Amino acid sequence: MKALVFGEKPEQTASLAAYLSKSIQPETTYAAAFTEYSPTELETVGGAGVKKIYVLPDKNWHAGPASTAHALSELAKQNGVDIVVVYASKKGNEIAARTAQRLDASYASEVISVERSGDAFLVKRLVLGGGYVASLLLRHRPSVVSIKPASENIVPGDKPVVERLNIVSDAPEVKFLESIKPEKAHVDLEKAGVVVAVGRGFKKKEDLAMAEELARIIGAEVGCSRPISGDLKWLEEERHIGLSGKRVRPSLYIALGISGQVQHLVGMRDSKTVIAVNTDPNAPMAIESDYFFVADLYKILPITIESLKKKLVS
Amino acid sequence: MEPVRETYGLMPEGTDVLMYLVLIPFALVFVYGVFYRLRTIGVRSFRELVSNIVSGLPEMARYGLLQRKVVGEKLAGAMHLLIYSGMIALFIGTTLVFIDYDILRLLGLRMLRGDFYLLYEFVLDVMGLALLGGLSLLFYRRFIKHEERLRNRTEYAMVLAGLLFIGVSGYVLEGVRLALEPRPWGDWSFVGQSLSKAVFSSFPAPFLTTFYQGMWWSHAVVAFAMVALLPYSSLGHLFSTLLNIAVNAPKQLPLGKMNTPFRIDELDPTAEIKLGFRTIAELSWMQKLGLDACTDCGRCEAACPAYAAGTPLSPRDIVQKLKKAIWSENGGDRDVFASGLIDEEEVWACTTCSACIEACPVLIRPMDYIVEMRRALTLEGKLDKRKTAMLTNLSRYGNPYGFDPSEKQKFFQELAAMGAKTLDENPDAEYVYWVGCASIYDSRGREIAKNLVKILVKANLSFAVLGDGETCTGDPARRIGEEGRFQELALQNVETFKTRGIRKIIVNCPHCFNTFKKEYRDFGLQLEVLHHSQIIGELLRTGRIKPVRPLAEKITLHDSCYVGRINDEFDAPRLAVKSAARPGGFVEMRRVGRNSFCCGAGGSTYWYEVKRRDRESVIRLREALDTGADVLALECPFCMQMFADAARITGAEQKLKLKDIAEIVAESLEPS
Amino acid sequence: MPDVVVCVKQTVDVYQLKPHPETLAPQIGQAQWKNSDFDLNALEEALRIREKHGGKVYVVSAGHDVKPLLVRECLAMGADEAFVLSDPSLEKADGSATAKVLSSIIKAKIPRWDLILCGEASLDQNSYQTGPRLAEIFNVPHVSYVTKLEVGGGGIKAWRAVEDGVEVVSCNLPAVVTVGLEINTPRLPSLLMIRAAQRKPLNELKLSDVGLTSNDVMPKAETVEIKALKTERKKQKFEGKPEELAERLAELIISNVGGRR
Repeated sequence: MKALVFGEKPEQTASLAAYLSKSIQPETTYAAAFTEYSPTELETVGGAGVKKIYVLPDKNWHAGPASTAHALSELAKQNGVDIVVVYASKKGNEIAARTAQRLDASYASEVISVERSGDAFLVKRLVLGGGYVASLLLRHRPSVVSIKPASENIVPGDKPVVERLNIVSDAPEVKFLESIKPEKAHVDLEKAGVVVAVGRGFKKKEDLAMAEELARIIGAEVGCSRPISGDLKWLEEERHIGLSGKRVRPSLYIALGISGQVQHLVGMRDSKTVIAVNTDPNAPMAIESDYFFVADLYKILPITIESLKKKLVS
Repeated sequence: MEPVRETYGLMPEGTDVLMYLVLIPFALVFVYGVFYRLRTIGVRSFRELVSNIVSGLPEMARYGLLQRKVVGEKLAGAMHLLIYSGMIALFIGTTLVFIDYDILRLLGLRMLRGDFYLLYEFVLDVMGLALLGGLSLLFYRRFIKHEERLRNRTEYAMVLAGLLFIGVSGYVLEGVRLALEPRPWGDWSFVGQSLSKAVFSSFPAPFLTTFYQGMWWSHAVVAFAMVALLPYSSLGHLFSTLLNIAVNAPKQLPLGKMNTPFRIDELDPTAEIKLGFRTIAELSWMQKLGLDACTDCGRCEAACPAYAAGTPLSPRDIVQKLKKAIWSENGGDRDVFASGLIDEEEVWACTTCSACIEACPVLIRPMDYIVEMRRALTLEGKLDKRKTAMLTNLSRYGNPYGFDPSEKQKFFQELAAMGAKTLDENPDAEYVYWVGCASIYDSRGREIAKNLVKILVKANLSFAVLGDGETCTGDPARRIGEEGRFQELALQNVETFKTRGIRKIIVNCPHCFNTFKKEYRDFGLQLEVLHHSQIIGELLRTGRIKPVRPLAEKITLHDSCYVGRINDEFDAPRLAVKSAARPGGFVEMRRVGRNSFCCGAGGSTYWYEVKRRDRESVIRLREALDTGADVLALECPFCMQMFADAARITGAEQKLKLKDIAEIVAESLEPS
Repeated sequence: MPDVVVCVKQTVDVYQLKPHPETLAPQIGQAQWKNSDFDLNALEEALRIREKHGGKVYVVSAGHDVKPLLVRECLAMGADEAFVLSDPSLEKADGSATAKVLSSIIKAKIPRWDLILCGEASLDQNSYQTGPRLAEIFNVPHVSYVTKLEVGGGGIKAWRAVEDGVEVVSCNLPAVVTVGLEINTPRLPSLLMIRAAQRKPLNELKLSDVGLTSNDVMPKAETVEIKALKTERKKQKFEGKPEELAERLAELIISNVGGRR
């Protein structure tokens, strides 16, 4: 079995190859790149399992997804690969879709796992708002998937064979004009995977630093109930979760000092797992959480943060 | 010598004729102004106008002539009453002179003579003082106290100056006359007499004669000018307010009742779709009459909770801006939103608490214009996310929160365990308790419902709940202006009630209460609707429940808009709370009853966000804290949610507990 | 005056979907249907383009059981004409089948168009496929994840949100654009408007009307099972010494954050 992997960035390509080595274990893994990889990067993708890397002209990348998809599908055809695996970044997804269409392939996007199932690939992905897992069979060869494997430590290995290839593409072009870096980190609560939400259990604005630190170390966004943003203005309005604010659906929602009035609940009920800390055992949040800590957040949060730091470092 | 009115006494021969000649152009300007104003407002048929006025005469007498609502405010009311009665008396006085001199005299008769004349002189001097007193108060309010809600325009100052001049010059004329020709009965004109003795008697007679004639003409011309300018100035409110009262008051719907512009089930699908208004031109002449009657007094603004909370809304501004648009060139055809005249946020900030309607002394209904503009905006559907979500939730899930309606079951099972059977299980129940979204989906609200059920069960009342048959009444849709979705729900509920033969219902939400009581009539449903304060009051009165353990805490009560001001129920909740309070354990807030202050949740504003400086609930909660009470008694689940937030914001959670009246009464029924 | 085609998918309302208590399969039969959120953003954007530049707005929808009332909502929002195709064979349609049907409808019924607008993904499948696939079929450029769009001079300029910021790009028309929720707030047609939209053309099509058979729309990615991740909140309550609770909390956070970092 042969696989072709492609990620926008070298580490993404490496993570794809590493994931495949563990899951479907292809005999040969090819990689595609539109920039030259440094020696270290080559060692990393090699260590992850890439045997051969095709380096294509960067105009195939800069001319837009149609051109990139054209290049990938040509590589897939030339090498007779069974599966094309694209890193599920935003650009990756659109390229994968166009590639699949070009190859007339079976395609599943943003999968969470790929396995072999007889002649086909069995993939799983989250559907129906994220609360359900769908299993799909991809029977066509080649198949295309996009996936975002968890990053892991890759031991550098032998550099793959590097082949420079020129694929002339007449695919319709999209012109890149400029890139605007966000001035301040854009809060995208609605898409956040983990949310730390704060309520009136915090007595002073300065104390929110605890929640912010917790969020930082576990990679979460900070949200809040309405009084915190709307009335006290301790946080920006875009962090307000609830009836008149954002509706979030993270996989983990940590409610700190939020009693759980209905105005707030409508904004977070679709969270997958809810952990709450509140001094009042009868707070409505108690029946809306999976794990409810009857505790003073001032007493336990500093200890939790320290403990998390230790655990996450090791 | 018999006392008699000496008209034109010190004036040259022929003054009377000359005066009438001078009056003619002023009168023409006046008449033209009246017609111009009526035409601009859109009055097309004189007959229609008159018949409308005639049917509104009782209201005109009550609110216009008797100033029923004007006197509602102490200082402003006194001021207005003084000026108003002074002007009327002086007008009657002048009219009597005209009758006496220009009619009766020609017939060889006199009316202003003898004792009647003396009384006439005395009364007019008194009323002149009333006018000047009122004008002084006006001056004080505007230029010394600088009342916040009073706006100063040059025109207002000029009107004040004109009136002052008429009043003062009248006395001066009297004083000079008595100085030149003293009369034995002069003391009856006590102001003029005093002026004469104190000031004018020291001047030489020829000077006084010339001065008198000059002053006489200025007095007359200023008075004529004021009359002529009447239709063009703020003085026009003399007529415009009376017209508004006469024409509109008889047709005004009761508070809390919105008009039903169409029936969705009887709609002609080919008809042109129109709802609310976006331009002045779309308003009827009667609606414009309401705008035209605004005197810019600012009482609505002072009463408006959204204004107090620093939202962009001032009901007075809404009316004044629309009024101005009537008069500006092409103003009538311009889109009020697109032209920037009115910001959408102003319209969305209204809590429909009706305080502006209550406050208006001349029966203008600022809120009605606001909801009609909302209707126009909602018809187009360019609403923000929150409003869209709320309306979508209503259509989709039957509750504005967007909760899965199947979640109801669990709570109704809980209520069933307490003794609240469903109508299916207890079809003969006398009452149906309609729990309402806020008490089904919100855990705090659920406590209210449970305590109410506790009371009803204890009283052995024959009642049932609807369970799955419950949905939203549609109130938030109607208040936000989405008439179609409101009617969809209303018709569905009316159908449920009719097929199940439901006649009496109990609700604990004032918004459900008002909607069932007032709005559903247009859809053919007459229900006996009791707010839970009313059924609790009734059970207390008839002794079916007896408080055995008064609460130790001191309690104050917040009158909700939709039970209180809008539906006139103030006694039942007080009876309920007082029955549970210890002696002396009940205390009123500063603003109670009809003057209560909205929590900020009404009119659908609960469901979205409005730019604001403060929150209505926080302002009101401070008032509750000021009473020194330990418990704030509430009668509305939305007030509960708003004040709970306010308490969290202000950190008053420990100081002031929030309890629904059902919770208070239920507590008092349990022996310790 | 660009003519715009908007592809609108009808999906089950995932927010109200309940899994079967035993099999954990979604009880789709009991749930309501709606127009997929992102697609309404696409329609709103099309309407705004029309308000500015004129042209026509067509709605295209396909599925195993397309609900006319939901299409009417699109017409009530302001679309000029709708083409809908219902066929039972589309129940398991994947991205490839969907793109095939939609492109066939467009080819057969809307010969002239300048822009196809789609939501960047659908509410139920969240696949991010339809837009790019359509672009590939018509061999035109596409821009995805657009948060701001300008049309003019035979082309478009688009702002698109990607991981490390916003990219500004341009391309010629005809093109395909997919939009996210941030681009606008779709207008909500009032009930009166929905009623009035009954007068607008809603064309119902069969597969044969666009030259397809059910074999042409067989999925290439076949869904074999859908299962709920979980059903109810666990409602576990922890009380005790702060130190122990803090430790417990840290453990729970780690086990739930998992490999997300």
